[in-house]
Amino acid sequence: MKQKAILLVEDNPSDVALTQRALVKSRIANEMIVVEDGQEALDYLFAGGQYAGRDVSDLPSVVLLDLKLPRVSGLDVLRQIRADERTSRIPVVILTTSQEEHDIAQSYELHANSYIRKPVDFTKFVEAIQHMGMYWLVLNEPPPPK
Amino acid sequence: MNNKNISQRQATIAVLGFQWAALMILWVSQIFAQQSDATLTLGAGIAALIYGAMLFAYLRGWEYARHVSVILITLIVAVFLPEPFVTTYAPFLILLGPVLALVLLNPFWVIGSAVGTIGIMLFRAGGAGVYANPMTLINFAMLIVGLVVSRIIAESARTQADQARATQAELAGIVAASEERFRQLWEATVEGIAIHDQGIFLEINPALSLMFGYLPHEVIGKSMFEFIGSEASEIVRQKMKDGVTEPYEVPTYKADGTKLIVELIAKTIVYQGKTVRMVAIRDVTDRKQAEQALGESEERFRKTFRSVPVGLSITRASDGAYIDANDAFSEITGYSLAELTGQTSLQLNITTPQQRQEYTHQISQKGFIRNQEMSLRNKAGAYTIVLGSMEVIELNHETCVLSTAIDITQRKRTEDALRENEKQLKQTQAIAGLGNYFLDLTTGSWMGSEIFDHLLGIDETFARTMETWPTLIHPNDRQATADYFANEVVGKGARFDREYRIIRPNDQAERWVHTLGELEFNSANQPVKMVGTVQDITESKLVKTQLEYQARLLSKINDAVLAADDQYNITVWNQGAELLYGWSAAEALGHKTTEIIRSELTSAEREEILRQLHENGEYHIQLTQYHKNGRPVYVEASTVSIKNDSGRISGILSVNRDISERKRAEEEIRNLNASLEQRVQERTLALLKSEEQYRTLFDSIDEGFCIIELIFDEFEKSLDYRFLKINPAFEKQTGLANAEGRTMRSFAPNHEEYWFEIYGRIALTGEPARFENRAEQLHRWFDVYAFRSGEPEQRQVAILFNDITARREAETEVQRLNKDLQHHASQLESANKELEAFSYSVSHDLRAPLRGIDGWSQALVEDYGNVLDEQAQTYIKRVRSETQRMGTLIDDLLQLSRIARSDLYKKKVDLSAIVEVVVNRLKETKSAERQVEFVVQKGLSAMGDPKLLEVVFTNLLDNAFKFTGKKPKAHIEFGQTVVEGSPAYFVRDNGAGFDMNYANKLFGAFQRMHKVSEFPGSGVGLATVQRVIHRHGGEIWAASEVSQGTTFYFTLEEKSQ
Repeated sequence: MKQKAILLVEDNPSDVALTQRALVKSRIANEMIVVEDGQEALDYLFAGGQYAGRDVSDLPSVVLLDLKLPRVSGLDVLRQIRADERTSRIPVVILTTSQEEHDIAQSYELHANSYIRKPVDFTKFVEAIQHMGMYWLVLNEPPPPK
Repeated sequence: MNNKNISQRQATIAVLGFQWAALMILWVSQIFAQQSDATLTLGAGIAALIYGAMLFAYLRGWEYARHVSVILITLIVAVFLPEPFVTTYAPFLILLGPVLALVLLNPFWVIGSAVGTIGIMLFRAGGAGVYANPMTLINFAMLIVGLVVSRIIAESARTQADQARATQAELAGIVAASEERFRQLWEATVEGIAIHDQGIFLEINPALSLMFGYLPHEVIGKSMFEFIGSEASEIVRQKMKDGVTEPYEVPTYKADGTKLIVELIAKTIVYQGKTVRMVAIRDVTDRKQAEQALGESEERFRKTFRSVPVGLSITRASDGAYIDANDAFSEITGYSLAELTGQTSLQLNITTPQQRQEYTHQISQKGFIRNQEMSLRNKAGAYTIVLGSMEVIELNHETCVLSTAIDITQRKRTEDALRENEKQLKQTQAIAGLGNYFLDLTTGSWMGSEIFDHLLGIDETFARTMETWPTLIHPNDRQATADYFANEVVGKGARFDREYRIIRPNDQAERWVHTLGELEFNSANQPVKMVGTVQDITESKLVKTQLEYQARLLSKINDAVLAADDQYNITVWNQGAELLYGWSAAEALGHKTTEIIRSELTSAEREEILRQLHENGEYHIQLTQYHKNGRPVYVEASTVSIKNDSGRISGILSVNRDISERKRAEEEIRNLNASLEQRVQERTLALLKSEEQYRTLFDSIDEGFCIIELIFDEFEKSLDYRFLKINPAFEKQTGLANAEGRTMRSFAPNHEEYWFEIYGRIALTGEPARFENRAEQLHRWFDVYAFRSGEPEQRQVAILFNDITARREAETEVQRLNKDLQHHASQLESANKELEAFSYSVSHDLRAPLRGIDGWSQALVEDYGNVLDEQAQTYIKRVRSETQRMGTLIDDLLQLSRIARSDLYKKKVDLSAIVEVVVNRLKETKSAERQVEFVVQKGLSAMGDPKLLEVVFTNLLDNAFKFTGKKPKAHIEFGQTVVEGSPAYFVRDNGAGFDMNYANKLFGAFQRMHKVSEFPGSGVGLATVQRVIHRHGGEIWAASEVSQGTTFYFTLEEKSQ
């Protein structure tokens, strides 16, 4: 069985590269799809825009979602994922720099599965990604398809 | 017509035609000539053209073509005649114009053409040449004169010939026409015409033939005397003999023997060479008959005129003179026809000038007078009343007036007498209010006199039948009256005599009438009619009723009413008198008043009373009299004298009232009044005292007080008010001086309406009011309590008030400050919002690149570690450590800002417990290799935000732990103490301490007291701590000594003062 993809929603290319590097270092082999803003994320998930024709039922195993994004914000993306019954069960991990209480509270209000703050220290960052990958891709039992 | 004569028109056409033809030939020949003269060619061409045009125009009837031709040819000849003829020779061509004029026109044109030609020639030659030669001119003139003369001769000859011809033709025409007319007349005239010679008919016209009924051939050649009868023959022979030429009439006969009257007129004429008679005969039979009939009619009229008993007269309209009058008129006036004729009515004194003027006026207005009463004076001077009529008639072409006069003197007299009777009756009835009537019982019809109608309120339109009679009676009396009439009157044959009410139809008034009626009976003793009178008795009925009512009243009245005669014997004694004096009427009547009614009057007083009664007719007195049983009664007596016609007193009438009770009551009231007066005095004294108190209050209070009187308009809208009373504080409170008696508007014309409205309402409703209002014109605010004063109709309001301007202004100021404050607060809020946004950006955007720097540095070490020497590896480590420090700095700063803006959730917090948690964490994470003694005072609690307080303790204890790092034995303590009399918490250590000179920098962000190499840190921690403490309303300060340690003191609540 083909391993499901990870959807990374992140506009900072440096962060994208670091995340990929962290994943590699953590020996996580799942394909990683990168989209650079909220709208693109929604297009990918609901097969709109440049992703028209994509099989919507082919959901990523986990969505790594930054909050501060161009166009549609991370919280809005999360709200729409949860509002649509096709995507409402996808594990969504908020991966962001913000430590604002407001952001954390809002994310959980919208049923985010985790909230991870990206540390400045890369060693710690790799650790975090490693833990995250381990947890969501290995330990966690994914939601059954609809 | 004479064919040898040539007319002007023929001559003109011939000449113009010849000229045109000649010119055409000349022109054509010039064109084809070997040596043509250009001028001649042109002239001939133009002339040919003109002649052609003129000939054509003339043939079309344009007479002036002749004139134009002459003018043009003259000009052409004069202008185009080529040289050298002009100046040297006089060619015959110059005669062309005049000759043409001679034929076509008249001598004036001949001369005109000649003079024109010569003139132009002279002009062309400049006044010289052959034409300037007198000889040439004389020759030319002779030629022209010859031409003119010949023309004149020809003209006059022709005119004579024309005239002769015309006369001859006219005469022939006249003769022919005359003959024709005569023939027509002969045939058509209705008059018979005969031509005879000595009585033998030569000719007769058809009319005569028709008139007499003989055919012409039956009479022509025979003697007329065979036909016209002997009577006519004799007359005609006589007339013929006398040679009469005037018309005359003769009776004759037609062929069928019918009688005929004809009028003849005869004339001697010459007929076919012989002298004969022509007779015109007219049938005048009808006319004669009509004349005869007229004569007879006239005779009849004349007889009628003479004999009718009506006076007739005819006067000339122009002067009014009598032309004719009949016997009746003579009888009326006493003048015979002879006496009347030629005279006017005025001259004979038959009419007065006024009468005459009036009649003339009427006739001129209407053309007639009809049946007008006129009084005419007769010859003897007596007056006759006539019914006169006048009419304008035309008599023998003269405007006359035909007057008729019927003597009505006798009738008039009878009528007047009758009228007088009627009038008297009517007056009598009117005076008596009595109307008479007549009722026909057999037909049911009835009629009444004028007064009757008036009394019953009916007019001539009222239907007078048996059915309508009862409708006049009042509904309540109707049945009874009808029954009475049927049963008592008609039934018993008795007299009708009854009073009943009626309703007058015209004004619906109810009236009382008294009807009388006498029945009349026929031979069978049956009643057939009733004659009687009706009298309106409403007034007397009313008087009677009133009298009865008054009598009843008098008897029932409580007052004693008594009357006495001149001897003072009692004549009237009512129930009241019986009651008052105890004497019955039977006892009192007939006795003297003094015997019955005893009093204490002296005889002198009696005399005085009688004297006054005599003089004034009345007397009023209150006195004590005595009851039959001797009881005194106090009486008010009013006595009037009754006088007879001669003015003598015939009796007295007295109304006496028992006023004993009243007297007593009056006495009682007097007593009561006396006591009341005393009480009033006492009360007044009390009031005065209260008034005094009120006055004191009124004068001394600081509040303004006034009583005002409202001024309303007719709609109860209050317009103004007047200050009736003001207290001393009034002026100070209002700023209005000497207000008493003045109106508000007089001080402040634009005083706000609501003042007037409120006070008006209070005055009208009596409901007091408390309010605050502004009086703009007084520049003041007032706190007012107002209530109605006195009675509602006084419309007064009492007002107690205070000038609250200062308070109101202060309030306004406070409001203004509040507003400012709100403004600042909102500004602050927006500043905070901005800061929040800024912080958010910092947390994201500053940290991301740091992570990049750190990440990629690590990647460099990991991927290229083998090519980097140790030095490079160290540098990369430095990069990473600086990066991470920066990350920490940012995090600390974020915390600081978060604390500043996060909400404060205060509750009771166990401070000791928090300190314990923090200490334990320190112990677990950091104190492994250190020896630190923690002393925590138990059970300290305070009101505060637990999360923020944890931040406080974490920072303070972290610091303490950090700065004691160099002490072999660290001591860190938390507890509560008292500083300057107030409780304060403290955290104390025995660490490095700091120089108190820099204490002011201690709580500033990024302010550090030590080198980073000694004690690392961001320098944000204490700033965060201070902010949390301040947010709790507390204070924080430090006491330190270098190397000895530091103590931080803080409070969490504002100092309670």
